Amino acid sequence: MTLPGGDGPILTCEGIGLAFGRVQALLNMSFDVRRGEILSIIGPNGAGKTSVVNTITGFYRPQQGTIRFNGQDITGLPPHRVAKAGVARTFQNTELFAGLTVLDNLLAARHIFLRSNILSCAIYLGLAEREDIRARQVVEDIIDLLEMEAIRKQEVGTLPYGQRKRVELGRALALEPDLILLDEPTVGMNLEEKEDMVRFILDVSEEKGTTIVLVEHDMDIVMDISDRIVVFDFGVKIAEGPPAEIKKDERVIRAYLGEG
Amino acid sequence: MSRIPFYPPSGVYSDSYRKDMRIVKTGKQRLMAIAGLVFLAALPFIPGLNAPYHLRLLIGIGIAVIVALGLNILTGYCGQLNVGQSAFMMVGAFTSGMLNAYWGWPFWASVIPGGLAAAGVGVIFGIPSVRLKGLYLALTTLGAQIILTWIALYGVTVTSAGFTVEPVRLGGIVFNTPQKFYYVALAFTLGMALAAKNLMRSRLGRAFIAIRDNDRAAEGMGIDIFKYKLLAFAICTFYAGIGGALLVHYMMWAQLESFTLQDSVWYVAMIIVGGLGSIEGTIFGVIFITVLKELVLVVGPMAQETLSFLPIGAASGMMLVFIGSVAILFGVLEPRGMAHRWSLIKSFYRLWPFGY
Ligand SMILES: Nc1ncnc2c1ncn2[C@@H]1O[C@H](COP(=O)(O)OP(=O)(O)OP(=O)(O)O)[C@@H](O)[C@H]1O
Ligand SMILES: [Mg+2]
Repeated sequence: MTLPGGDGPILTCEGIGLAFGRVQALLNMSFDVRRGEILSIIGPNGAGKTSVVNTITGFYRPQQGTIRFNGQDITGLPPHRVAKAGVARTFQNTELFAGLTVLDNLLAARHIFLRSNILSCAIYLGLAEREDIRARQVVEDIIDLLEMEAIRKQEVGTLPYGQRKRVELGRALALEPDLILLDEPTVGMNLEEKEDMVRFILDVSEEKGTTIVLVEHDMDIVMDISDRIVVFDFGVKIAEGPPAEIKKDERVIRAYLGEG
Repeated sequence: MSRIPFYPPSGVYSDSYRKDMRIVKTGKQRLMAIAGLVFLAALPFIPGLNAPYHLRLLIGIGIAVIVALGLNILTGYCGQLNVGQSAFMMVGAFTSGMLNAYWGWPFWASVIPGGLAAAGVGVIFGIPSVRLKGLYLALTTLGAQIILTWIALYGVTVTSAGFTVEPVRLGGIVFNTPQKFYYVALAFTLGMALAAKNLMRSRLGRAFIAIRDNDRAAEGMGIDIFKYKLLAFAICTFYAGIGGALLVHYMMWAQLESFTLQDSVWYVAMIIVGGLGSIEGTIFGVIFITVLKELVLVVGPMAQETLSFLPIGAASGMMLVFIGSVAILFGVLEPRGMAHRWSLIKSFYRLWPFGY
């Protein structure tokens, strides 16, 4: 299969500038994400990590720069178009559909694959039902992968925090994205939950070949699973490279790692 | 974590998913549903229940269920307020009524155009929902009520005066008595309720709920929230329009006074009491409020007579306050409405005698 954009980077950010009034959240930010890799974005609080995720996924519109995904210019597209193009994300402060069950949260994310129109939905039997059954099969596979069988019929509002993060990952996977952006997927988790999450991220990367961008504060996890790391500080990229290099980088140690 | 096999091995998957997704799941439920339908169909022939008064009440309930279902789809499922539902009902009523009275279209040809006209107007008033939320959006729909009523009153001569509409005909039957029209109302109510149930369990319903629960996340999952909010407005007001078309062909008379702001507020009360985001709840809520309103009509004058020292109208006024309080109490004590109670009762019954 030849992918649009060929073997080049799956995502290119070029000279992104994003300001909120006088706060410059991102300044001339450029980096590539290579097909199939796990790329981590690290940096102190307020460095612009979430801002870059929001900009790529269309939640923020950058004042400067271009974003290319699979060879297509996606700069300034609304979030739902970016999602359709094949970019999925999770949110730093888990944003689930609280009133829906785990199953329905994931099914809601199958939306873009379902074609049945309003009439066939009203009749349901036939087309809409067949589509829903197919969607259900995909979603059940994800539930298996993330070991959520026991909670599939539970309303997500009632789930403990760690499990909600897992549901959010599952919902992003239901979009069958080529690229998935995870904004602090292990924040607030205990050690065991963190280990599970890391295992799931690796599973997704290996089994599905999905490219992963990981925003993460836990350095052990970052150093352990990243192919490459990009380091932000005050909206500027200060370093980029494989974990071994980043660990030794003077500027990184001063700006970020030094504190630990 | 060990894997627990909840479902039989693959191959029978799709079959078990289909069963899992059914509305009527067990044989007992099917039996109850059939019994209920038979009862409803036979009701006009059951002595004691078939008084014209009862049938008129039931027809009123059926039409209100249709209108309130639309509102619940918009408000309960998609999270968008609308306090002008009766004005959209009026658009459908006058469209269908005028097509009939002035162009001779039979009911069957004019009912869908009535719904579509209401939906068209509804979508226009839904456009502000892109930017406006909560009470601000409520103000827009309040504006719809006022503007549409104003147009019908001063803009169009026919609608300000009222006009006669022909009854529904099918084959040789003219549905011009409560006993006959009951079946038209019943068929439409059941059909529209089933369609609502289906819409809300399909991709549309999931998109609506996603927007209601978290519009940011919904967008991030590829849902075009502008498009789907407008679609929710369209469905909501389509239901209102169908209800309006039914009403004028039932009354055989179309008039402005049937579609007041007060009616719009009643629809909101019905879905709050019944349960936001519940099809069954909508039906409970409509029945509950309609019966209470009926009590006002009966008890009000009686109280007036006994408590003759009260000023005229005070007793009915008090009853309105009473119903309003009931609605507020529901909002506070049982925000999920009667539908939630119902599901608790059902699960209790399912588990009995091993509950709790
Ligand atoms: N919507 C917004 N409005 C105004 N300022 C914002 C907005 N979003 C981000 N900022 C500002 O942009 C800067 C970068 O914030 P961002 O959330 O991207 O940091 P972060 O690296 O994700 O931090 P953390 O590790 O705390 O999540 C901060 O100064 C923040 O206050
Ligand atoms: Mg952040």
